[in-house]
Amino acid sequence: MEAPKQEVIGRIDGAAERSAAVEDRKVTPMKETAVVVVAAEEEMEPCVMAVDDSSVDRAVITAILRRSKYRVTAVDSGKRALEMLDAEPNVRMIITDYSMPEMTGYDLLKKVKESSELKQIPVIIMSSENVPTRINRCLEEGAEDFLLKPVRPSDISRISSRMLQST
Amino acid sequence: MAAAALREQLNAHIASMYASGMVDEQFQQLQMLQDDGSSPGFVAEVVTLFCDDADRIITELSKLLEQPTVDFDKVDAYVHQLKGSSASVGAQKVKFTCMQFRQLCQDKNRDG
Repeated sequence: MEAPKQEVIGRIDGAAERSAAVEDRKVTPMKETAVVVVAAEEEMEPCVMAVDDSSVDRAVITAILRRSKYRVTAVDSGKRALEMLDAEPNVRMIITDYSMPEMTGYDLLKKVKESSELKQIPVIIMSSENVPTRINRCLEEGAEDFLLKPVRPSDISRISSRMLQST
Repeated sequence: MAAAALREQLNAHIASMYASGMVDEQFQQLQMLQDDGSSPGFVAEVVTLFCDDADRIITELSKLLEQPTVDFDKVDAYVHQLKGSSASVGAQKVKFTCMQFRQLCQDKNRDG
């Protein structure tokens, strides 16, 4: 029998908590293995990172992405997105607002495309303003698509279909 | 029975919001996201976030507009935020008001 993936449990529960749980007989070794398997699967599930400084827009885009069966990590800034990208290995797409303080969606796009580890991640830009020069600039920098807000479920479905076809 | 009556009242209220132009089809998108299953309180959650956000922005706008010299760029930035979030929840009248407000900012029209 394959040994449980200890490093995953360590990340989810913490070694001390696991030991205490086993000592209290709340978790049997078999249950611990099952938790490891579920946790490992969840860890490996690809996710989409949503970046928006507006709490309202984060909630809406998260709901739309989850409706399309994506696992979602939502953050409120480009800076935070870059920090999370270091920690989250399974980001399959980034969808970011354009207009954000300190680091715009365009700045984030550039950082991602300049990084050898991150450049393969498709980046979608969202904006409430239909500015052709802004759209062209993002597409030329390597954005996968540019969506006008409010984003609809049909926008995400269209992008998902296209990305599935291209893999 | 009481639940059915409340549901009917709610539906009538929502219908009147659409009829009066207070909300637009984006609000319907939120209802569809809620009805799709996993978040029964989704609309309430998003509307609450919007109201909190709007409250914060309006407070900041009030402070800015009370200044002897109004920084219209800052005012416009806040109104832009409010316009964005109102569009995201389908609050059509708020969105249109923000669009008018932004025009007044561009005209540097404090009295407007």
